[in-house]
Amino acid sequence: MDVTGWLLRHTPPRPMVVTAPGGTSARVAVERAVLARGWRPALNPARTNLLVVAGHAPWLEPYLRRVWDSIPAPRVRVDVPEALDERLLDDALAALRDPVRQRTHHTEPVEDVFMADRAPDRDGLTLDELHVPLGPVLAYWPAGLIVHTRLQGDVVTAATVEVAGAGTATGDAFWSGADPVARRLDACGRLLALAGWTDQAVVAQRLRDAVLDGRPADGLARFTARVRRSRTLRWLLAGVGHVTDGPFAGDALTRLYGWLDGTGPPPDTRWALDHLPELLAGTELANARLVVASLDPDLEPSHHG
Amino acid sequence: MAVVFWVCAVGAVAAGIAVFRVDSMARATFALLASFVFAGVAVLLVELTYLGVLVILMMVMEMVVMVVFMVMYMMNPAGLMPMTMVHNQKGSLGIAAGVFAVLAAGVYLIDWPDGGPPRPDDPTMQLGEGLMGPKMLAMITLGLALFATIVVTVVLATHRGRYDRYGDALDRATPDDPVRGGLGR
Amino acid sequence: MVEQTPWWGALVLPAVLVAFAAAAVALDRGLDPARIGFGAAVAAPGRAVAGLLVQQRRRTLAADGLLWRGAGVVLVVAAVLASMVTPLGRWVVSDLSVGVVWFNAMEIMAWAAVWLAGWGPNSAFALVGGYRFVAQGLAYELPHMFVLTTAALGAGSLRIGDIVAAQQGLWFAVWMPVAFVVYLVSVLGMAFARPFDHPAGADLAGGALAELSGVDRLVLSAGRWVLLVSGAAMAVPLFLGGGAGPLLPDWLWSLVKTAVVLGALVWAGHRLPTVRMERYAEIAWMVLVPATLLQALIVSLVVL
Repeated sequence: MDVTGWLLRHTPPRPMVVTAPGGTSARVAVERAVLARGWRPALNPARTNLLVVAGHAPWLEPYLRRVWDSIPAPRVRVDVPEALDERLLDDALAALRDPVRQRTHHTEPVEDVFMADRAPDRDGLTLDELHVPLGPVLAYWPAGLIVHTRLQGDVVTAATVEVAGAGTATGDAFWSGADPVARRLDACGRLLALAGWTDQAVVAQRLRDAVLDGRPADGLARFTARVRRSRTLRWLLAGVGHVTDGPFAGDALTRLYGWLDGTGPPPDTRWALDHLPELLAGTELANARLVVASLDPDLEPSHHG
Repeated sequence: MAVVFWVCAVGAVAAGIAVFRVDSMARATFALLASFVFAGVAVLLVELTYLGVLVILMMVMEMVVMVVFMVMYMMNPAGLMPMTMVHNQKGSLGIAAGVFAVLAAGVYLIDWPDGGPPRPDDPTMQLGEGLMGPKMLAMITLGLALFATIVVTVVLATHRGRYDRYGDALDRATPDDPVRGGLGR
Repeated sequence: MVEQTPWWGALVLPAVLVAFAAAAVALDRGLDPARIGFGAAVAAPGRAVAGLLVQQRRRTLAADGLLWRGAGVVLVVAAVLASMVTPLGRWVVSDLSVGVVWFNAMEIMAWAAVWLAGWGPNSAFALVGGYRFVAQGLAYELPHMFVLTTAALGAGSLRIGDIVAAQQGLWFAVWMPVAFVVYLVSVLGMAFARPFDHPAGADLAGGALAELSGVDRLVLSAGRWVLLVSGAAMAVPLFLGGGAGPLLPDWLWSLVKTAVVLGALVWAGHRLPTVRMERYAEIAWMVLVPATLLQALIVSLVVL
């Protein structure tokens, strides 16, 4: 009996979707297909066996190659430059389960050494400091954004923002043609997923897809009420990424509520990029991630990158 | 029984030696932990169940807390920078040999009871009462005093006390903390 | 009341635990909002195992392989050993006189295991995940210890069999509600199950588990689920009267109660966002420690 073949046939696909700037339409299509097929998305290269690249950006290729090298076999890469043809996923699944095509792989450890320094920490001790980049390949992370952090333990002591291969910050054209409610639900879903509330994140995604299709978004009111009612979420997000004044005054929670109610300002990428370094300095990594998701910068693809 | 004892005895010594042979703080700490766990199992073998289990419980906790501090102070990220646990080699060798000699001599010199009265049902309880029975009040007072000492030491050592958090007049509504806590303060 | 099984009981125990763990995984997938259907949910744990068995083991640069891959083994062994003192109806693998302390000692092994899993691969995200679990351990452990002490106080014994016997009139869950609730919360915490899954959080791309694949991941995940099962199963003798119940045989009552507790824990994980330790720690120290101490005081006064 061919054990490997049998195991491969029963391997559940775990897609990891990487989005290039401008790949939002592809990302949305892939996310929708993944949900419909009941596949569980993977958060990291070690867990994935299906690298799905939504959109296309040459500058992203070196990063993708590193990610690819760190994905253990069996593995398949799928490129979805623009619209998603469902057959792409069917073919990927077939390739994933084909023992012949999966046999030859042999991954080498990827060089992933972080620069280490020493610096005084917030309690006045001299401690190790790592230089860790966040993005561009990271789950629930804005496409095309790289934040270079200095980390002491899990405290971000300083952060600088790099917009990889992108020109201006006007955002993905996909959203300018769509209902703003869909854009807000997308941001809600990603923030909720990052906050570890996967169940409601999926509800947000379903509603987003319905709005994009022009279908009636049944349950939008119920979803809004459900999220607003959650005392745990309020307790967890209050005070995260607090901004004293300006259009985004408040914290991650008020920004989430603003998206839910449609009263808050839509995400402003320029503002977010300008203020991220100062908002991220001194936060813990978890909070830093929530801050970025609560501002949801949306980068436009570069026309020359 | 004998097999388990020998496994534990050899394991404890081997892990103890490993502490000084490995070149990473994490490995040294967990070798030490392994040594303690072997010793704890050996205590279990003489049917001091409570003490044996407690040794294992406390040592796992302590070693995990210790590894955090050791890694923090010894600058040894993921074992990338080799380190050694051996310091003051001659002195420590002398002390170790001396202690071992005293303990080993004790094994042979003490007039161990044999045959004697039957084993009590619960040796831990007997040991506790033997040690503390008549002096329970003193022990309780001592326990409280020790605990108070720990608290006071932490209060004195802390980098940020309540005046740093709530201001010199303690009149700040929310404390000035680097990270907001769970009580919304 | 409680009697030790022959030696083969020690072989049955892991099988029972793994069956429960598989059921918990299936329930977890069934509750997923993707709504994959009953059949797919039941098949999910088996397929996940198949996928991990055929997956390559990942290597990272300058990893500490021994500590990294050893972590899963420690977790699995400790999770199984923790249940050694948990009675199934009348049968228990080992009716230790200090069962409660034994259970706690085995749970604590998870601290070492998860920290090692985070440390081993030499990856920043995994390391942060490992440290998060140590913080989580410190936050849940003290209330957890007081809660275990409270149940032992109620029975005047550290032996699980005695604690079950002491509940013949009234379940401890009824007259020690604070202890019962805090126990369930800390079980989720020690198994870093949702909503206490921050050490393996989405914001760290999987945290302490981020670099694990293949059989290494299988072992560690199995340990994590078995630990959750062990915690849920221990709630039954500690607070829910053990195998006591009408009509059904006592072993079946034990299984039913364990299933209910386990189901409730998994369900709770789907209802709540991830609890971060910088928020929970303050609650644990400022609210739960006093509350559980007060509960212990009340129980000791009643017992007195």
